[in-house]
Parts: sequence; structure tokens; C-alpha cells
Amino acid sequence: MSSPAPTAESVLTHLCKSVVTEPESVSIDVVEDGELVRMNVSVAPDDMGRIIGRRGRVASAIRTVVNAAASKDGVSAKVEFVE
Amino acid sequence: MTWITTTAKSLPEAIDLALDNLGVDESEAEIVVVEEPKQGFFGRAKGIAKVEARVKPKQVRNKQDRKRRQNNRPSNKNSGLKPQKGAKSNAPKPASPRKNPKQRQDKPAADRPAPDTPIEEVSDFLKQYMVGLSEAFGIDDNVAVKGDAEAGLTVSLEGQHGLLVGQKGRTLNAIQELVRVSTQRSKPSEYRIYVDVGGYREKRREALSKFALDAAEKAKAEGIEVVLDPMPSADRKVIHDALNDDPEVETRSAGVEPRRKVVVVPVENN
Repeated sequence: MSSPAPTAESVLTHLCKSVVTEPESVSIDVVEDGELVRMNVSVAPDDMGRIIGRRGRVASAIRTVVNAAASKDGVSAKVEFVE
Repeated sequence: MTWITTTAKSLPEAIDLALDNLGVDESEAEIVVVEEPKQGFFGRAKGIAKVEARVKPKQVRNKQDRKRRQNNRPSNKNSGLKPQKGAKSNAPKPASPRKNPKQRQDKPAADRPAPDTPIEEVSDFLKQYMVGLSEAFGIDDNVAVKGDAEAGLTVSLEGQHGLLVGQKGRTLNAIQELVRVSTQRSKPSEYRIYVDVGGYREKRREALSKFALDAAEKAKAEGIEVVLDPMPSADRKVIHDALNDDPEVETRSAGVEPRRKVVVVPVENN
């Protein structure tokens, strides 16, 4: 993998696909931005609420776990959920 | 939008579970109570609470649809759940009876499993989830699922992996939250689910209990209220439990999540 954050990316993929109802619609766009690796996740419109969760609880849990994974890659990850 | 079904011991819990499941706030959800626990003696509830819920559709539903819930007459129009755009129908009594899941044809039935997945299936799902997660982390370790219907299911990695635990277990708790949400969505059940890594939970419990005893000593010795750091509800429970038997102190929680904390209060003994 030529990803700047292979661990973070595969962890993010696993977490997102497990939580949505349409895993095949999950796509992750990885952009390097200096020290930061931006990961933009898009999901099926019906899954947007699920991936964010009530009061953003699911989204924030995903960010916590992905940050841990990113530290293994030696980078900081910033996860955004986009429509 | 798909209807989902959740069950729990009490109505608020069932609703909470449904909202967690849909990932929306109460204001954005449509909730139908299917079953309520009956009040038994001494405030003990008997039976379970069961609710059906879905995310409110954004469009205003037409009259046909709005009447749907008040009407239990079977209908030949089984797609009554989808508001038809522009269909300002005045049809008097249509509606598909919501209590009969077979009438709900807006999504395949597989999308709405009943919340009674067999424990083996839940257990398999947990195992797969953790194997997938540890592989994604590049960790090669054994995944075990232990527990039963009574105690709940604990899925754990055997080795020490500080990366998955994080500061004060923050990463582990996030993983647990995600495992719970994902499991509830694809294998809905009433089993409690826990995630552990390298026996961290037990070690944390011991450390917290010791910490609680120290705080109690301080409260008693100095006659002051000792306010602990904010911690998640599971950790607070450990503190409350640890000091439950000590008649010289009382514990209460103060503040608002996620900054809720335990206060240890010395009991005046005169």
C-alpha cells in the first residue's frame, strides 16, 4: 500500500463498513496535507446518521480509534464525514 | 427509511437503543411503542419494552401515510410507508398495520432483523469484528469471546496492546462503543457487550477501587468532600461499588456527561 497512513486507513475502513447498512457504498479519500493525513469518508445518504451517531458519538469514537491507528503510522489523521 | 426494532428492560432504554441505532436525536425519529413492561410489585417491571423506530422522512408525509399508525386494517397497498411525492390523497383508510412486519415492504426483511439473534451468532459477529480490527491494526493475536446471556459477552484480545487501550482506556472504550453499535445494527440482541484487551478491564477495576479507598480515607481524615476526575459511567460505578460498604462516606455523581464525576462525602457521625 502506498497510503501515507496504511494502518489508519484499514482501521477506518473496517470501522465504517461494520457500522453502516451499505458497506459497499463506503469510500475513503486520503489526502496528505503536510504533517496531517486527511481522510474523507463518504457513505450512502441513509447511513450518514448512523456513522455520525447521536450527538456525534459514533463519529467521535471512530476518530479516537483511527487516531490510535495513525500513531502507528507516525502521522496524525483527520477524519471527516462528507455527503 | 427502514424501521428497526429494539427491546430492553425499560422503555427509556429501548428508545435509547433505537436512537443509538438510527444515529439520530429523538426529535428526528419516529418511535412506536410496541410493548411496555408491566409494573409488578415493589416497582419491579415485568416483561420487556419493545419499540419500533425509524428516521423521520424529510418530506411531509401525506394523509394516507399519517393515518397508517392509527389504523390496523390490512391493506393491499403494502408500500404505504413510502410517502408518495405529490400524492395529496384523501383516501380515507389505507395504512398498512405496522405491527405486522410482513406488511412492511419498503426494504428487504433482512434489513430488519428482530432483536433476538441467537447468542452464538452474536458471539461469532463479535469475534469476526475483533479479528478484522486487529488485522487492520496489524496485530496478530488470539480473539476470544466469553460470557453468557446473564453476564453479557466479552470479546477480548489476549495480549497487551497499549495502542488499543489508550490513555485511561479511552481507545478501548471507543472500540467498545463501536462494537456495540455495529453489533446492535447487524445482530440485534439484548446481550450486554464488552470489549477487553490484555485483561485491562480487571486491572482498571482494581486500580479504581484502590483509588476510591484512598479518596475515602482522605475525605474521612480531613472531613472534606473529595471530587474525583471526570470518568465514564462504568468507571464511576466501580467507585460507587467500592465505597458502598463504607458507612463513613457517601458517594454521589455530579456534573454533566462527559465530564461527570464522583464526589466522595464524609458522613457526619454525631
